[in-house]
Amino acid sequence: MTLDEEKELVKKAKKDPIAFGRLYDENYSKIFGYILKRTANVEVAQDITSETFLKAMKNIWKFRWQNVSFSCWLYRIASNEIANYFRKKKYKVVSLENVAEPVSSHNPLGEVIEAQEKLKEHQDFLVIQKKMTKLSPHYQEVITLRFFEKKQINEIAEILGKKEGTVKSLLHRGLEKLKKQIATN
Amino acid sequence: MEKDDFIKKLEEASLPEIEIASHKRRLKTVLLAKYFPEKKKAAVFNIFRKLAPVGAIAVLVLVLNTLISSQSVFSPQYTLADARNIALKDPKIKELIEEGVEIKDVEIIDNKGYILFQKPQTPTILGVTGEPMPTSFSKESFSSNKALSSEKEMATGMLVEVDLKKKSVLKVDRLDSEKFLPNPSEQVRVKAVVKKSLEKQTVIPQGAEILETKISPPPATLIKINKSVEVIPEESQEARVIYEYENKKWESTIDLRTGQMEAPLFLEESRTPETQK
Repeated sequence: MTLDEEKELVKKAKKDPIAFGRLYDENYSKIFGYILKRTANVEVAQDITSETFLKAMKNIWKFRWQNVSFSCWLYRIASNEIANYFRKKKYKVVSLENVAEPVSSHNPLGEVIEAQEKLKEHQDFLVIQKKMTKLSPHYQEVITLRFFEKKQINEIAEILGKKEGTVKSLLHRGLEKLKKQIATN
Repeated sequence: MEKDDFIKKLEEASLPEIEIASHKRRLKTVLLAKYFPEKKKAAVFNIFRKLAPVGAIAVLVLVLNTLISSQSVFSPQYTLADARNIALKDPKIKELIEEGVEIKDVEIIDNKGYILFQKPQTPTILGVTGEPMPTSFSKESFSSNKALSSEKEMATGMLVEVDLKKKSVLKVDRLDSEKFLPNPSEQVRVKAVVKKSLEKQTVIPQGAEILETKISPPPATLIKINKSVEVIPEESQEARVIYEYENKKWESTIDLRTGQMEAPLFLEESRTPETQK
């Protein structure tokens, strides 16, 4: 979708739920993916994704087009929701357990458990992610957006509402701290 | 570790590309259902914001925020199995398990667990007009032209709320059968898939009328939204359809996910008074 097409869609989404549904379809995967990379927990990522899109829907009427992708706004909401989550939960999140009978075979829990198992296959990422959680959220955000979401500096600046110079500085300091964390393992 | 090596390690880390299709679908259903109520709320709030003094709003927001976030920050972490086990210990729920209810979904919000139970259901039948029929269908009653049986085995379910801290059942809400039936937009989708599947096959003549569509009941599921849970049915996966063309009838099963029709089964050819001579 081009930026102009997205602009039109956002305009329609303020009045038409189908248009909002299209925006959702276009952005769900990247937002869920970002949240999953930040939290490394499928169930938590689902919850935060739900809250992110609900907030987006509640506030879409206030949204002002800034000539950048709509996803930047969603990333910002997601970052705030993740920060809220980590502020409230100051302990290690327990992984999902397999729920035994009498559970129906159509149980969506199975899908979540399967996804969590698939996540465990990415050990190199999980090791880095675990070390990253010891950093301040500001560093986590810039590192995840730069290296895992493959965003450019100007996009990250837009997402976080910061100047490009600040983003570069945060990235530089964050990488130094992360490197020390990994080295002390 | 050299900086370049470190950057390379970050850039080359294999990233999980995981998606939960059912969550994507369920969340969309809930969001679209809430779209207009939220729009209305925003409009009302806007008016209030313009009329009321700024100070009064600040106080209101502060009070609401305090009420909403008054839960303990250091809540212990509970598992889905904890919630399930508390519910299953309740004698009433044990009885229902023996009657055949199944756990369909479990969710946890702070210190509360929500367990969705569902009884096996009779299919939803859409008649010629496409509207749901309250009666069940049997091939024998159909082929003998007897009146359809008026058996009304209505599906039920329960949403059980448990206190994970006190390990007790707080509430058992019986859910109407409508909660588990395909909603109108789902029925529209099913009808479209059924119609299209007729066009893709060659056994049943294209002018055939769809007499009846029996939708296999989809499982219901919970979705966490806004510190609460909502019960929503999943997408229907299968339908059995009766077709009629020039007094001939066929039956087939359609996979509603792919639109594929299984080989139709010829049921019968009705004899008109003229042909019976």
